[in-house]
This record gives sequence, C-alpha cells and structure tokens, in this order.
Amino acid sequence: MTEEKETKKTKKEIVDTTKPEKSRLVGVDCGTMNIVLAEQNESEEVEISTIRNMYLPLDKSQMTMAELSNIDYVESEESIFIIGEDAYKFANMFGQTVKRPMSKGLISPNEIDGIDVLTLIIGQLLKKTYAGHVVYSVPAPSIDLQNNILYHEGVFKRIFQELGYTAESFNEAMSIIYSQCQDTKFTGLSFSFGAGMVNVALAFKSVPIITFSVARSGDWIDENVAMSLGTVPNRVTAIKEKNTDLSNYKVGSKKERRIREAIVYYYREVIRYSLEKVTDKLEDAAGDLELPDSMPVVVSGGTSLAKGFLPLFKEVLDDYSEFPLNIDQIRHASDPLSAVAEGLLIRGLMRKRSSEAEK
Amino acid sequence: MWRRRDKNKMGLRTQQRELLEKIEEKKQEPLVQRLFKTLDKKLDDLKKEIQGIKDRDVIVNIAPGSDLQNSKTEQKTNKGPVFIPSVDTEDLKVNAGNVSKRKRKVDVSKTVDQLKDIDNT
Repeated sequence: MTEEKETKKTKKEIVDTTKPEKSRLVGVDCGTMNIVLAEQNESEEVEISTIRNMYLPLDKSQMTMAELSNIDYVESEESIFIIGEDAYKFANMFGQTVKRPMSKGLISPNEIDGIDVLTLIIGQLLKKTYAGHVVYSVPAPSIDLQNNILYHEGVFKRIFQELGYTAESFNEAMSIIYSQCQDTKFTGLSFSFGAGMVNVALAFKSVPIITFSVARSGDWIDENVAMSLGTVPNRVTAIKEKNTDLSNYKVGSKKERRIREAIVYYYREVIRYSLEKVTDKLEDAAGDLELPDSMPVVVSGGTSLAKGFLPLFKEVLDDYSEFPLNIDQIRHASDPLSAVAEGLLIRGLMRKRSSEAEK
Repeated sequence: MWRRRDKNKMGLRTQQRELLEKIEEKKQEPLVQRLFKTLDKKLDDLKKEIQGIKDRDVIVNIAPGSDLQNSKTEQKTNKGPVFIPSVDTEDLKVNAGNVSKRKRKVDVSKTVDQLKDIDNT
C-alpha cells in the first residue's frame, strides 16, 4: 500500500514538446436537433455521444434553485437557459416552444443568445483538449432557399478551435456514403433527413457527383402539422418521436390521431419533394454525367426514424415514374442517428493516415 | 394602549426582522438542508479540482532550437497549462450537460482501408 502511495506521489506528468501529443480525433454531426459525436476508443469500438441542440430561456423568478438542482442549465444575470433534453421536456410541460441555436440546418439568424448557448452545448459534448482534430458536418447549399453556409462553417470552426481542436468541415450527405456504402464501393444516393434540411449526395466510387440540400424536413413537417391543427410545433415533435407509425396513424386519442394523420401527409410530401429535386438536378447535369446502371439509396437522419418511413419512401418512389436512376435497393443506415458522425470520423481517420504516410 | 398594527403599515425594520425569522425557519426544512448539503459537496469537489490543477507537476522538455527554448516561460512552467476557452460566455455558468452515450461495434479502420483502396485505383 505504502509503495503504491509513493509511486503515485512520484509519478509526474511529462509534457515533451519534442514528441507530438496523442491527438484526439472526433467526428461531429452538427444537426439542427441533435449534435452527435463519434470517436474510436482503444478497443476499436465507436463511442457515440449525443446532446439535444436546443434551449429554453426562463426568467429567474420562474424556477427556484431546488427545482434546478437536477436540471442542465446555463445561467446569466437575468435569465436561466435550460439546455439539452431538459429544455425539450420542460417546454412540452409548459406548452412553450424551445429555442434552437440552429434553424433550417444553419446557425439561426434570429436567436441573439444562440451562438453562446451553442458554444456551451458543444463544450459539454466535446470537452476541452490540448490537441485534437474535429471533422464536422456542413450542409450543402440549398436549392430552394437563399442561404450561405460560409458563416455557419466559420462559426463552428471558431467554436472548435476555442475548445483546443483543429477543425475541418465535410459534407453531411457524403459522410453517409463513407459510413454506409462500403459494399457498393462507396457508390450510392444518400438522403439525410434531418430536422432542418434534407441533404442529398450522389457519389460514384467515393467521388461526389451531386450534392445539394432542400429546406423541407422534420421541422417543416412539425410547423405545418401544428399550423394545420392549431398546436405548437414541439408538441407535434413529441408525438412524432413517440411511436409514430407512418403506415397506421389510427392510434391514441382523437387529437393524437388527427396529428398523426397530418404527419403522414407531410412526410409523404417531404419525400416526394426531395425526389423531385434529385430529378431536376440530374436533368440539369444529364449530358455531363456517366452514371452506373443501378445504385442503392441509403436513407438516414432523425426524421427517417419514424416507423414505416422506409415503406413510405418506397411507395412514393414507385409512384414517381420520372425518377431518372435505376435503384437496386433502398435501405436504412445501420444507425440513422450516428451515420453522419461515423462517416466524419472515417474521413478524419483517412486524412490522418494519408498525412502519416506522406511523412 | 397597544394595538396590533396592520402588516402593510409596519416599519421596515419589523418587516426585515420577520423576513429573517422566516428565512431561518425555512433553513431548517429537510429539503433546504439537503440542498445545502448538495451545494457544499459540489463546492468541495470544485475546490479539489482546482487544487488538482494547481498541484500538477509537469516536466517540460523543450525541443532544441524551438522558440520556447529562449523564452522566459521555460523557467516558470513547472505546472500544467490550464485551459481557458475564450468564448463570449464569461457571464454564463453551466450546470452539467445531459449527454447520452452508447457504443457501437463498427470496424471503421476496415472502412478506411477500403476507401484508401478505392482512392488508389
């Protein structure tokens, strides 16, 4: 025992600037609804960490310290911001709408405190480091909305750098090709149905041929269902995420049944709209592309988690006779919530290996 | 003759005294006592963490010819660097973060090999 104590006492941490520090490498999917981190551990498994990307501002007088003791929050002089999953739970309890640092896949221009809260949320997920590298996801520019990803990309880079990481961005839908299309030699059409956007990539042997995004996805479904039925969007999100079966909406109370019915209609429209935009893009580039005879479709993202999503996708695709590609299979990502983060991790490992080989 | 005065017309000192008495009473309640205990524990943990950072012994081995070799930091850095992120959130403090964690058995190294092969062809 005493020997053990002595060794503990004499054990010193050595910082040797002549040797490179062991660097942490992570892939981070910066989603509108969730921020997901993937990291390879020593047993060669992939560790996935997730945090909800949302907050709920409350006046300090609304909550007592005792009530806050088990809740995740950020405190400023005047307000309390409940963050993560707790924000979502409290908002549903109080019938309020949560605030999001991001909207439609990008940093929200409407939330003044958004970037500060986002910085803290990411800090909770990543933790500080002395030497680390992050590969983080960025959406492709939207074809149906005037947006620019430069600011979004720059803000995230700054946040990661301030936490001690070097950072590089990579396309969200291409990350799905990296993590899910090994069997087809990284050829396929991937759809990332997130909360803010649908990101699409068509890749041939790991080379991106077409990448784009559309600003109609999970949030668009929630907003439109809420508008159609006079409720708040996060109430719809809660019902959507809880046992929604897109092939059978006649479950639950009368109000829930109505909401579920509307959810199915808007889901169908999101899928149809995405397929229509793929068709438009391919027609625009038709002369310049030499595509393989057939390819798989991989569907991923939180919005695709609803039960019955894949059969609905197949149904809409079958009805869509003008689709210009031969699809040999439609499949779900092995884990739709972490497929992007895993792809980003693969991208990071690949770059690391290349730079080591160059040395 | 003494008369009980209306509470609204009480002097400030009396009101203050009554409030302090009420606070003292509240402090004795089990829930508040528990809260104080939790806060004390958290404070102790924080103190230990700060002390841990202060006590860290670090041997700094500076590369020959590096800029650090001639700098004054060489003499004074026998303690570990303390990381302070410089974000615009100095006025905010955070209480934990609810991060959910899980493990997946995915062979990402094999995928990297396959990608490298495709790249080379």
